[in-house]
Order: sequence, then C-alpha cells, then structure tokens
Amino acid sequence: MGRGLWHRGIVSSSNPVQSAVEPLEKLQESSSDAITEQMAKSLKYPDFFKVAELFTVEDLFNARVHLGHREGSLNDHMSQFIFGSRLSHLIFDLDQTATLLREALNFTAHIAFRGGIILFVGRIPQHQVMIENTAKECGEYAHTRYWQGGVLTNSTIQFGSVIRLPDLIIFLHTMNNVIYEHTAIRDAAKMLIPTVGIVDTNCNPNLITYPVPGNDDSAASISLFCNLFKAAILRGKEKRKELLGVH
Amino acid sequence: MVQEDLEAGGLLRRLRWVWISLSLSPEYRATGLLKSGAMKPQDKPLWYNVYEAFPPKYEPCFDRPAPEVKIRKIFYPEDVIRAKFYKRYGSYGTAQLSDQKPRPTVCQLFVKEYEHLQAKGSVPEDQLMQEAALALEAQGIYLDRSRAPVKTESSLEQEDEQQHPEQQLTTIPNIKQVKLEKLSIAEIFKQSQGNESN
Repeated sequence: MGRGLWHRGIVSSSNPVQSAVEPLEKLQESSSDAITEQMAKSLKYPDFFKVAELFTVEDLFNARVHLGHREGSLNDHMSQFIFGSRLSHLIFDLDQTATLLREALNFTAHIAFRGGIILFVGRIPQHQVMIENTAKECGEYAHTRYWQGGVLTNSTIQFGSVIRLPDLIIFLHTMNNVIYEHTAIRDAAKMLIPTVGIVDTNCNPNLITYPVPGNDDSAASISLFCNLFKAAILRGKEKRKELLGVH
Repeated sequence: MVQEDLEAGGLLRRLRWVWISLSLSPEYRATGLLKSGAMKPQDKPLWYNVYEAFPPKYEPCFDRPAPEVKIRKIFYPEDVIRAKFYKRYGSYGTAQLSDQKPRPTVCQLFVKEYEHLQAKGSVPEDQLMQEAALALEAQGIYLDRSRAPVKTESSLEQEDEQQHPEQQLTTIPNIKQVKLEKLSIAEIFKQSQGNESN
C-alpha cells in the first residue's frame, strides 16, 4: 500500500482519505469541471454499470451461497437474513442476498469509477491465493496475511511515510482464523472507510457498510464473489477510461 | 484530521471517540466534520457522494439492535415418506453437492412411487411402503437384499450384480448398462508387445 501513492493519476472532485495533515494540491479548474459533471451524472442512474446483469439468484444457488452454519453458532443479527433451518442447518434467503449484493457491487463499481483504491481482505488460508489473484487481475490490492494492528490507524508510523488509505475495503471473510472478527472491520469504521463484506451466519454485520449475507466457507461461493467484485471493478474502470479519459 | 484525533491525549476522550466512531454511520460523521469545518470541502471523502446517492439498506452502527425474527423450520409433506424410508432402509448411496445435474437418489425414486400409488388410491395405507418397494424392484433397485436375484455361474450379468450391489441399487432405470470386458494382465502385455513389433 505504501507504493502507488500518486501514480494512479488522482483526478476526482473529492480527495481520498489521508493520514497526513496537508491536503492535496488544488486541481486544475477547467478539466475538473467536466469530470465533476460526469461523476454527478453517473449517480443519477440506479444501476449505471448494470451490475444486476452480472448474476442471477440461480447462480448464487449453484455456487452454494445459501448454505449457512448450524443454529448453534448463529449470530442474532443474521437471523433476519435466514430463510429457514433444515434440520438445524441454516439456509440464507437468496432474494435478500441478491438485493444486498447488487447494492454492494454498484457501490464498488462507482468507487472504481472514481479511481478509488480497493483493498481485498480475507484471512482464511484456503482462499488466500484466490483473493490475491482476483486483486491482481483487476489492478487493485489485497491483504490476506497477518494484520498488524496499526495498518490503518497508525499507518504513518507503520510504513514510515505519508499514506493514502484505501477508499473501500472488501471482506471475503469477516472473521479471523479464530472466532474473532477481523480487526480491519473496526479500524475501517474508525477511519471513515466504507466496507463491503460477505457475512456468514456466525458473523456480525453491524459495522460493515454494505453487508452481503452468504456462505463464505465454500470455494465455489468465494470464487463466485471474487469474480463478481472483479467484474464490477473492471466495469467501473472501463467507464472511467471511456468517460473521464483517465487510466 | 482523523489521525490527529487519535493522537490526542486522555484515555476517556479516546474511549468516547471510539464509541462515537462505531455507533454512528460513516456518512453521519463525515457530514458532521464537513459542516463544522473540521474537514475542508476539498478533503471530502471519495465515497461521500456515492454513499449519499446509494445509502445502504441497513445503517452500519455497532449498536443496531438485532430484530426479533423467529427462524422457521423447513419441512415438506414428503418428509414423512422420507422419514419412513430412512428408518426402514437406512441411507443408500451418496450425493455430490457439486453436481449441477444430479441423478435422482433411491429415496427420491421411492417417494415418487409412493406418492404415485397414494394418488391412485388402490393400495391401503399400511401396504404403501411395501408396494412402493416392489415398484422399485421392477426398475431394478432391490431395497430388500434378500429379494435380489440369486447368483448363477452361467450369467456374467448376475456376477456383476453380486460384486457391485451398490451400483445396482443406484442405477438409473431405462439406461442400458455398458458392460466392460474383463481383461487380464497377460492379455494387455500381449497387446502392447504386438504394438511394439509393429
């Protein structure tokens, strides 16, 4: 995250979250007006990037997104997203999942459109490589290793320089290896960084800005989510190149 | 801005800051900072306008209460038949979760036959189980193994049935069984040697 500070050609009407005190230099007025206009225009459409076309409820079902854990490990905040329990095995309501997933993908695409830095986070070893590859393929960043405490909250001292923090964090797993929530969820909330996260039946969705209730343990479901987020980001970047003329 | 707040001294002040930062949505706090002038307009976060246009369905606050939703149990009318089947015959074969077009299981076929007979109405209730089992036997699936055809030395087909009873039970009816030739190692060697000489 320390590298890639200014090479992304920051051209936006608003500046990203920073840990340094000094703001960025003022942008040229003429170019920024057209860009600002274009960005404001994109917000008028309910689905500017047509993310609803990326998946169907049947796709979610085939990827086993509806399979939750057992009733014993259910987090009370997740009970509203549960369709029912089949002999104590919890099943997600895929209609609700589909709605929330569309929201999350739309937000992700808009952030990518505005040139935001997106960080993929996931702490389960089986899917580490998959998540890192997804980030590489869409030109964004991933952090699937041990999370040192001050990465977001103490970044200037941790990395030893001015840091541009991510503008969106996507959690493929909200839990750590053990029964605790990932530290980045709380830290992102502290640092005013919006989050998107796949929440399973044992997770707490409260601090996540755009939670997506679904299975986060099957390779098939994580692979589907990775592909969907990648597609949304690439669509956002494509439009950015096309409409704003920036890489 | 945010970093400065964190560095400010006083444990109580920091705890209060953590409580505020987690119990209020990021948009609420960002709006507050912008209005009060702590955050200058050019420092407005990248996501601010997007969040304003597309707010999440549920506001992200850590103390958002969990709604009182009772989780319903999923049961179907066929579960009664399934329960009877599994109690009597146990679990036959396995199912692959990754199959996109899975073949019907023995239990599914049994339930189909049972319901078919039930709808006909010709068979009394207590004999439905037996009749359904007999209907499956007609398709080649023997739930009661003692009723399976007896092995005779002449028929190769019956030998296969004996050696692979599980396959026998999970076959799809009306599909021809492809019979594999029994090869011996000596034959395979002869064939390969024949190829080499050519």
